[in-house]
Amino acid sequence: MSNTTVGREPIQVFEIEQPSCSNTYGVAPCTAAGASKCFNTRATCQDTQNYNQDDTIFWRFTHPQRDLIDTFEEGVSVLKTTAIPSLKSVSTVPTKINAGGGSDDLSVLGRRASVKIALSDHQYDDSFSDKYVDERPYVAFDVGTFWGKWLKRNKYFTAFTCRIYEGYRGETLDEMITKTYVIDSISGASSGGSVSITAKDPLSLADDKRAICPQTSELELYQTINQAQTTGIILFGTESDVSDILGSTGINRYVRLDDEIILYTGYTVDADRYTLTGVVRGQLGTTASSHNFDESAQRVIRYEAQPSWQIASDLILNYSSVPSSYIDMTAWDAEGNLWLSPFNFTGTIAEPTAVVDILEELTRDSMFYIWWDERTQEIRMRALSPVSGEIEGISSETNIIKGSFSLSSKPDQRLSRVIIYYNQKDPTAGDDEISNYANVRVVVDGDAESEFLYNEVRSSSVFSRWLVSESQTLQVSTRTLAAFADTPEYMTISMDAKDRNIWTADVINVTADQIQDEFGQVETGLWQVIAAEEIQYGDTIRYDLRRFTFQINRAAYWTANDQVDYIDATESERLAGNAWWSDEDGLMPNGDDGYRWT
Amino acid sequence: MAVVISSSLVMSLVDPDAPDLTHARIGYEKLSGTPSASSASSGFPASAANNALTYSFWKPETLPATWEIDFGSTQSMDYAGIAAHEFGTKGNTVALEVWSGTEWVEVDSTAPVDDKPIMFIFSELTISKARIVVSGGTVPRVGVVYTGMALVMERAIYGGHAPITLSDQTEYTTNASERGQWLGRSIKSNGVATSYQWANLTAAWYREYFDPFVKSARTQPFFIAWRPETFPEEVAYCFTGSNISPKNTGERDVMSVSMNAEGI
Repeated sequence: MSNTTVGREPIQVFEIEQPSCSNTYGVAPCTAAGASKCFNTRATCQDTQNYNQDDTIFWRFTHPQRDLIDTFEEGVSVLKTTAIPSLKSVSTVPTKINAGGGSDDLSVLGRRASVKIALSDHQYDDSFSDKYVDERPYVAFDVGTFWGKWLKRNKYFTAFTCRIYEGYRGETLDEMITKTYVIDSISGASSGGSVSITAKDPLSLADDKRAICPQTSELELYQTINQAQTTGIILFGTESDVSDILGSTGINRYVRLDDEIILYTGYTVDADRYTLTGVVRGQLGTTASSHNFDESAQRVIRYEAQPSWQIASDLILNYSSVPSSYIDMTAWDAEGNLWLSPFNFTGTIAEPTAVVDILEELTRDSMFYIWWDERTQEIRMRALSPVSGEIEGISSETNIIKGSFSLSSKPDQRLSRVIIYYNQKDPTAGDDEISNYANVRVVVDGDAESEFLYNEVRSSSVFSRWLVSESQTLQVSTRTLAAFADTPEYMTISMDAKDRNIWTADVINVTADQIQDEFGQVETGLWQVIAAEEIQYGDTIRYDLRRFTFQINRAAYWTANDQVDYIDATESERLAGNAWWSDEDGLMPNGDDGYRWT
Repeated sequence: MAVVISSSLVMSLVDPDAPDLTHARIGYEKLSGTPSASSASSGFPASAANNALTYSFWKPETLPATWEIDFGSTQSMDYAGIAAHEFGTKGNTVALEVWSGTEWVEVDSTAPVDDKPIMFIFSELTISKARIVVSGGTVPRVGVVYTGMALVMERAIYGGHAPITLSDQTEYTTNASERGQWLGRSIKSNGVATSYQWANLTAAWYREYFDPFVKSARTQPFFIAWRPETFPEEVAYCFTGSNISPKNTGERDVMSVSMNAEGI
């Protein structure tokens, strides 16, 4: 059975990944010897020195239904339970991408996905949760409830991984669509016997409360120094705050004292005092000055000529608890090298800053976006770039569910000019002070501002610590204006599960009866899925789309020297991003449109 | 002699004085005792079959295997119910045995063709231990085992009844396109459900025998074979979703009662 089977029977399974100790109570290395045995969880451990999390229990829950699906699996250190039929509902707030930052009601990073799961509380016989169930002096089924016991035994559940599986009867869980989240909170059980679990996408681990860059240093100046001193600069505190290699500058490390940034290349140790060596004062646009003992010192992160997307991945992986498995660096590099090569950034972060704020700057200043793809279980990155190749199409005839179509526009998101302040002078000064930037670039769409078109000025100002060259600012401002010159349009539709392969960030051709040209003919256009949600699991998916404005006619890039002539090239070669010069009329030898330089 | 009527209902040595086998048998009593098994896989302890949960199982490591319950003292027993099992799928034979005081004696056995609930019905025995013996096929899981005295209904169920095993509760969702094209259909199986009605139950019988079942049904599922002799395949393991209340009928001292039940 699959999404295209007539009479398909949708299945939804919720899973919690619970760490469990592999030791046996009282058997070496476990030295516990209490009156009652533990439940192999940290909260019930009686020998915390030897506690491990080598085993995992995958708790699985499904909706009450006839012929429960068999989800039990057992492997080395892994126990995946039979599905408990206590799942009441799963409601999701899907990831919503904000490509180009056009939507003011969302951050540049878009909206984080979240999910709320409601489950019934119930009696439970501890089959999977208690290794010693048959040794207890009580009958587990008659004592307490599943969630009452589970919450007490697993009080450190925050950040447990959980998953939603959505598929059809007859499919294995591996064949179903899997969406991965991180548990944020568990409420209940309520007097009605319900438990509510809230979980967020793993990119939320980079949220400001959890991820800071650079971390606040536990360092102080040990003795007073003057503005010329390059030796005898002693810091007191935690050695890792002195030794850590941050950013991309290797052993060229930076530390901030008040408004001065000092470069050092090494240090010597005397107890918990560290004397800096290789010191150069007043670096990165700051001025050397004297400093008093006890003054706090803060490590500074600097990236020099680094690809923007690689800075983003470094921040996510090294300054938040997002696992490295969630980023496919090969895919990021492929996308970045193809579309973002002009964006090698140099920038300094001189004070503890939320990682999410830095990510917003990077995505805004180099025209890419990142989002949590709950289906591929990856943080994905894509440049604001044209799409090529075969594009899937949908229509009112065969895809859009009756009564689900609506169209809207947001004039407030339109832009007619972009102002970029760049070449930051002093990273310790205010980020949004015009005087702290050496250059400014203004790009205006005069036609759009004229009385014949929109007859108003709509501007966006950007203060960038990362942009350093005129060519970079030209790229950003031109692409931004091209994308937002016209009023952004949004569409909401629902489609049957047969089309569930279409998902967030996909660009599709839409032919809807309600979208017409000036002659009243139905017009097909490119739209990008900015959010997708299974509003009825396995049956109906709701899509939010935005008209795709990053498309250009025949986008291409430099190709190999031995490329065949245009007239001899196959159609797929012509569409695959290869470019040839057109004639003076902008046409190819056979009359095709020429390629466009971007 | 044991007589296997069907794979779902196994009747043997039935008391000749008992009411007609056209009268429903309700297996709600579950004798308490200590469960044990010849072996049990991790996560599938013997105790898991000694409660009402249909998603929690005992699973032996090897076959043949036994699951035993020791009542601690002699008890009366004339039925056993097994639900949430895989005997049909796994190709097993299952036998019910009781402890005579010196040896295990087989009451009956069956080789189910599917995984539907099973009831063993037999004449009352006084025993201290019972067990099921599973052999043949591959290792199955067993979710629920009940043992005790079945409630034998005073009257039969007559016309108008929809057998629960034929009453699937299925929801349908159909999607059509903006232009009216048929896009897809999903179904959701919500188990089985029906209602049972009995009339002309004497008031004394109701109070003595049926009311204890009503109290049990508030919290516990039960087995029911609505017409064992005629429809031995139609055994259900089910639960009620609402209160059960009798009504006095007519001038004579009789009552009627109905109940809704959902099950697997």
